Amino acid sequence: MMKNKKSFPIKTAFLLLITALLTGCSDYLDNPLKDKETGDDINLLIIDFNFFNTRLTYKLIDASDGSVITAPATLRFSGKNGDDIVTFSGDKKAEFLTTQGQLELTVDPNVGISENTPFEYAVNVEADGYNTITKAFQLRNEGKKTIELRLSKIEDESENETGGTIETGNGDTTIVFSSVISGQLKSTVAEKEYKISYSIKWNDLLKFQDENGQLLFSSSDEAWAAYEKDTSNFISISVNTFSAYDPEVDVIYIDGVPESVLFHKLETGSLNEILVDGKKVGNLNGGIISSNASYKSTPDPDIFGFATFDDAWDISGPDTIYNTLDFSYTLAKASLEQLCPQGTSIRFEAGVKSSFSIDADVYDINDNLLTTINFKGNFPETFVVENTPQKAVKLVFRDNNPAFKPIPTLEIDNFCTGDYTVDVDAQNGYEQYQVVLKAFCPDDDNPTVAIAPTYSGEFKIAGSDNPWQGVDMVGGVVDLLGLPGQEYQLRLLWENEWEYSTLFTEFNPDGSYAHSTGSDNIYSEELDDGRIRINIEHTFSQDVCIDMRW
Amino acid sequence: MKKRFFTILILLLFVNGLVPAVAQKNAVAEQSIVKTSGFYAGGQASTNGLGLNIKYIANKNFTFKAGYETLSLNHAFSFSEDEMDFAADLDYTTGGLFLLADWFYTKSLYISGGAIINKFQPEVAGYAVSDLQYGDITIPAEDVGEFNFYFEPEIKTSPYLAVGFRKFFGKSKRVSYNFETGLYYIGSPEVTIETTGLLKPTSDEAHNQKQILEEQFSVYKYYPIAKFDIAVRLF
Repeated sequence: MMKNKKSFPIKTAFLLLITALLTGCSDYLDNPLKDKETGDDINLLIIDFNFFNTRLTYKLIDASDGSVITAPATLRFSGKNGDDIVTFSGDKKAEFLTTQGQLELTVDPNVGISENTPFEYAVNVEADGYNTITKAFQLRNEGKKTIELRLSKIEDESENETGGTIETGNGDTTIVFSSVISGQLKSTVAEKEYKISYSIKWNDLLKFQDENGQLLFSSSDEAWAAYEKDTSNFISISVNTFSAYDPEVDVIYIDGVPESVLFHKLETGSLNEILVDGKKVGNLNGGIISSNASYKSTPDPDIFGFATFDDAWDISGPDTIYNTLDFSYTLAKASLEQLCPQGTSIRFEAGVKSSFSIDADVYDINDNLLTTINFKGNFPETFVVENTPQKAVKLVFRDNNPAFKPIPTLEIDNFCTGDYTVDVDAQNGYEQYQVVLKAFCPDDDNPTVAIAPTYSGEFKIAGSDNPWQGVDMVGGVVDLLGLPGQEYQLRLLWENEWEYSTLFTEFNPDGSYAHSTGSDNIYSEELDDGRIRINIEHTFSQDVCIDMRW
Repeated sequence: MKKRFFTILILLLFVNGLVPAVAQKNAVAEQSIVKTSGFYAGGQASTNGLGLNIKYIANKNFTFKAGYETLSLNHAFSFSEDEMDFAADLDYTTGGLFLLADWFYTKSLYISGGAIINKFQPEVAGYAVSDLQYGDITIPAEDVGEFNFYFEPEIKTSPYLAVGFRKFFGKSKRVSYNFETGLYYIGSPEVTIETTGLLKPTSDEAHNQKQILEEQFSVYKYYPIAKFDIAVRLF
């Protein structure tokens, strides 16, 4: 009996303890890292997969009319950092394909870019129906770069056929194609600032074979007889040329060192055919065609001549020779004026919260186009231009942004220095919105994974003739200007396919979305600053989660 | 919150209410003329740490006690997330300075109430130990960054309620020992997150991770106490 009494408080204590734990702490046994409602694991950590510091938007532009090229195209990168260009999935590829005329790529974030360690690479673009182009770059700062690559359409080339006459001198007999071979669009006739001429030595001519592999002439006498029979039509050379290229910043070798310079591709061309005595030449058979270029305008360029490309341009001079029939050439001029790695600081400001993508053509004081620059960001944002000439320039902003009033020309005394501010005004009637995009994987097994992309997008009124307006989305959030009561389309280019979302800028008085949603779940709310936030939950049609390894 | 607190309190009292009749018999049996009131000093071990206390037994119904206790435990562990391995350390720190009053409704059984200035502040700190493989890109572990999660009670001065029993040793009853169990109300833990590198979004308010974790840990409003203390009468 006594034993029972002594043990009673202890039993009571245990009872109290268990009761307390069960009543007050029953939930304590649940794993707090499991979602209370679904039981799914919650992520303790959120990792920023948007770790790319430099984003590269490539636009393939038709050099003749400025339109976007939608023919299948292949981009290949080479050079010191060519292998450091990757997709937003982090994939390195030998070649990148697009049928949209646009490509969104980025740079391996492990590779630093600075004035002293420029990011050097070259791009080669092949597009159906267009001439292949190559161009080199030296990026000297990180950021968002939009690069327009201008391709000439093969059908826009002009065919130049020139007859040759025989000249003798210094013991040599030479056929000289004396007419000016100048590139010009079929629709344009203009005096060019350069001249390209061809010549073939008589002994080389005698080596030429026809398309059947037979020598054109069995002897010099036979050739001479043919010439004398019809001197004006004895020989002709036909070259396809294109010359409507704008000046740009490119990279050339100067004393073996690649340097960014002002570069102007004057003409590209390729041999169409050579006819001799009515027969088409099929093989030079060791014979040589010489070509010479001369600059006819003033002042003389610092560097002028035929250029070949090997990760950067090598301008070898005004003379070149060809020993095959499938030759092509690039005639170019370049300035030795040293470019400043880092130039003027330009700040874009506006009285609105908005993303922007503004294109500016840079002219010198003589209205010569020097280069084109794209500025993409969010107001206010400052850009330091790179590879700039140390001279006065003016930036003529393209009026291709429907949401902004035309931006006055910015005149800069010295493109290498100074801080300038560009004030941008919203077009009348436009209102400020914020769009928040959550992109979901199409995989039903992984519905909770959402991507808040840091990416370049485009925006315009659905079905309108307005140009697509570039926007800079950061973490899935983009501020932009839109007209009320309109149907807009927002699109992102992912792996060669545009992902579209459609939204309406019509809202109820409380800020809620006034339209029923379609394939995207869309809802809206009024922000504290009075703007409307439009939330879009978009399920990718592409398997973005697989691309992202999620 | 208050409703839950009072529900628990009532349950505790109810359980203790089962025993008064029997306990009363014990009390009568153990009544003696030995004096037990006076000042005591001793130590305690509890789920809130080890510490020292002083108490004053005023009479057979009331005892007042104050003390300090502290607990610091460290536990290293690892986990994986987003196909990355992380090393982490849990630094579990708690304790506090308390001031309590015990009301004896029998000779041995009592209800204790009071407050503690608590220093409950667990911390989980860690860093990535494996590189982040992303396509053909490898992000070094050191660039992934570090994280710190700090947990703090919603209120620093926490009310305390407990039930317990007390016994005395020896003929002169100079040594007492108590066992009690109860709860501190600390409120929903508040989470502070600090991150660096690629883990920065974890502490970015836009991603609501703080709110998500606070919601997940919101059930831990009460700090459970099981305490044993022993004390010697000084005078």
